[in-house]
Amino acid sequence: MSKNYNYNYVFLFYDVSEKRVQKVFKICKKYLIHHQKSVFRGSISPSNLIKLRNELKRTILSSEDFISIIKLINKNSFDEETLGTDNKKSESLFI
Amino acid sequence: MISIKITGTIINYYIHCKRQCWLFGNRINLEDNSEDVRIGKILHEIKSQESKSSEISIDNIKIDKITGEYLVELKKSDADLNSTKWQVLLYLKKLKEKGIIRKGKIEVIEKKKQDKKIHYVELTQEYEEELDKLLLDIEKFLSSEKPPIAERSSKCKKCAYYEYCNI
Repeated sequence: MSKNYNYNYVFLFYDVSEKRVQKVFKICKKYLIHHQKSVFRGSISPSNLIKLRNELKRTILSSEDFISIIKLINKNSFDEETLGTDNKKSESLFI
Repeated sequence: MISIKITGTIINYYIHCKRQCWLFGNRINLEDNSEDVRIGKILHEIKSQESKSSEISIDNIKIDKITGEYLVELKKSDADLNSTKWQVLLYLKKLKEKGIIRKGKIEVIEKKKQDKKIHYVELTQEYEEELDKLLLDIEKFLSSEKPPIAERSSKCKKCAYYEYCNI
């Protein structure tokens, strides 16, 4: 166990064929918050991250689909700017 | 004859850390909120999904996987394989009592899934005698009034009982 960082926050981007996109969306929704059209993000425990990764792996077709997971230590390890308005009825980021 | 209550986990903990063994064996359970224990459980689930083989329960022990030649025990990391070795030896003995002869195999799932390490254990005459002694010791030990005093060491920091021992 060398580089054993404890990642607790992730960004997840997916490019998935329309046939499977519903399934992938549903899996992501269980663990993370829908942020943009094909972007999820949120706090996640290392054990849940393993679960999520495994479920996605079993759902996608690895020859066609592409998912990228950016792992961060926690939600304070990055900064965010937004431009324009988010027309999705998602949770407000600024409470 | 082995008493009913000693499980693979208990023998593993006895070798690893006597205090952890006493606490676990006397139903003081702090593992439910341990992230590492959770990760271990999930890795187990994933492995059994892949191979479509599930845990087998015999008496009070749970065997991860059994093949024609081997009894397989899965572990998340290869920290303290000595404890795992005894755990596997206990299982082999149990099976032998039931008339099933197998060799032991320990599969380690590293965080990086590429280098899977496999270790082999066999039940020899010496091991069997040692195991019998060990089991008697553990039984005596578990029925003692109090757990042994905590000794700080490097292995403590990943333990589910860390807070309990170092209040």
